[in-house]
Amino acid sequence: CTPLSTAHSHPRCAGCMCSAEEVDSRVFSAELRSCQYLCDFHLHLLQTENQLKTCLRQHRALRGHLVLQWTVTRLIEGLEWDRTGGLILGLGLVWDWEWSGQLMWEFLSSTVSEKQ
Amino acid sequence: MFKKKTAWFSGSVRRGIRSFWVSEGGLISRWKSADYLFSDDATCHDTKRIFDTDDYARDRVTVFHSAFLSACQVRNSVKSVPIGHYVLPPFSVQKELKAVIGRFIWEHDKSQQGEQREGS
Ligand SMILES: [Zn+2]
Repeated sequence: CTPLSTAHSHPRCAGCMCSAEEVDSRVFSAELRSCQYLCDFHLHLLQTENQLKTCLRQHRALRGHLVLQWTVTRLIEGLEWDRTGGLILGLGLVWDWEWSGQLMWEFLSSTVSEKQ
Repeated sequence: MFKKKTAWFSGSVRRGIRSFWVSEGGLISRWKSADYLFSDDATCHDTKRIFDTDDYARDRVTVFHSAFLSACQVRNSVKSVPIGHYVLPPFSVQKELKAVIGRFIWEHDKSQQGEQREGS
């Protein structure tokens, strides 16, 4: 037995029991996550990686959000003001007036407050 | 030993390991499609790139240390070597884990590999 497995193994830890014929790089994490009896090593590994992965997911979501925001801003900046207004009004006509009036008002007040 | 299995190897893995994989019937493929991912160094840019993917963040990929293959070679068996002992997590995780657990198994193996290489 390996020094690490004798020091930390739990008799039923999936991380210590599974051979490469049962798990690979694609399913190992899920296998570990679904196991109820993890040894010290695999439990700590799972917990520490969990913290990092949560952080990573949040960062990736934020990155995606910023890219979307940047694209929309660019799009609005790229369009002339009357064309943007016309587009919103046109879209409003298709759906309903109240909605487009509301949107026009929000858009106008945001551009005015930005200029101030 | 590795018939019909595919693997990706980081540039940090020594060539002998790759030849062993191929000689045992394993195939080499891109990291996105490989069944097994092997690296010797979590700070190597090709390995770091994997840790920055959605696949890693969503539990769809684990990188293993190539010492696993060395152990298979020595024992001439895959079944008797628990692959889960050879996980190579990102460097920040390694640092935190070492503070609690001590050394990784592939750090023990490193000295043995060194001896083998010098001997051969
Ligand atoms: Zn374990």
